[in-house]
Amino acid sequence: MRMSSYGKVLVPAFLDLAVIVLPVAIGAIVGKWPEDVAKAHLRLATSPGDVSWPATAFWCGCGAAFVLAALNVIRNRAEASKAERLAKARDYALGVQPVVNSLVDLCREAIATYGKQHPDAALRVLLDAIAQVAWFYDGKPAARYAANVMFYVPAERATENQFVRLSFWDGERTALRGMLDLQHEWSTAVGTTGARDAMLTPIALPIPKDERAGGKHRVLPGAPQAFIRRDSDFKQDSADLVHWCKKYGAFSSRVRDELAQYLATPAGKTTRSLVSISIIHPSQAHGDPMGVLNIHRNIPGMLGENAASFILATRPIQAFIAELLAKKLARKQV
Amino acid sequence: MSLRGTEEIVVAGTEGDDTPTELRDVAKRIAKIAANAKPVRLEIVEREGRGHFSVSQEVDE
Repeated sequence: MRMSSYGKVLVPAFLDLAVIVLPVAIGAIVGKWPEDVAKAHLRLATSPGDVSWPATAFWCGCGAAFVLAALNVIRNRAEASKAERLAKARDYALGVQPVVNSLVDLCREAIATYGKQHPDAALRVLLDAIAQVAWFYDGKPAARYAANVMFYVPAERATENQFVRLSFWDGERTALRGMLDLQHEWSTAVGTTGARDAMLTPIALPIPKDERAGGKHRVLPGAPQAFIRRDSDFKQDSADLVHWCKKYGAFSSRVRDELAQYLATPAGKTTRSLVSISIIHPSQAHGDPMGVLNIHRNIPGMLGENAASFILATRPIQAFIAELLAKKLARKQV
Repeated sequence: MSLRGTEEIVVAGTEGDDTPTELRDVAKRIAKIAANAKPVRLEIVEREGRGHFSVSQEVDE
């Protein structure tokens, strides 16, 4: 058991025990030294230095009991709220799972039948399916849902064209670990039956060698953060990104201005809320992810509290995407 | 995994659409399922401490 696990068990146990023991101790003090305790409040006002130790212990005990009881109430309410949220997310995931399973079956069919002949188009159908699931999860709102894949290129292998596409970076090339390159071929929007996403513009996002500077982030939110974590990243409203970069990031004003300008473009407006998931092949236990899968929509609040359950429910589609991407990249190996 | 030659597969900015008809049909079927599926609300009720669960199902209108 790790220290944090001990903490999770011991701290609540200590709180529960203290809430019981403290009143007993206070009662014992009152029973043993009733005079001291009774006169203590008068002496506190006139001559605090003369307050006896039993009275001091009594008042300190009362204060501690009050604080601990308040902490206990807050903890219990937080736990109840968390349990309620988890129960809601679980019920929701169970409710949508049959639909997700139907889409997964169609994805399997698309790969098995057309994956070899038309890998890019098959991948776009998978992206369409995962964007459809997000739309369904959100209750089918009137919004534009889309998905794309950015693949990772180490800096030493990046071409000049990729450096031209590199955005939001004003550092030296030597400080760059690599970049995530947006693949127009691997993008689609819901309602286009697997066509490329016409709203996207060529762009590559930097992955710096140093993830932090002076305790602040040097890696942009969204796809780059998902990449370095080998996990996922959510952004409920891209309008907050520039503020986030200023508050928590070590980004220059030039980079922040460039980001603000991009978010105002038609391409930027299609990514008003975003979920980014790193693409890792099952055989790839270590090392860098192959790339990042982005699912986005043009209004804030995509998926909300269902984001984690969405990621779990769409794992099979993510695995298909990883498989196709691995095959595609393997064919390009020299 | 080597990414040598990655520039060959970079087609950012490509216009048009070459999605085969068969795959378009699959995409249409996916869209139809997502569009026609009715949201279902499931509620799990735990039976008294036995670790068994019953599931009640309610279809939203």
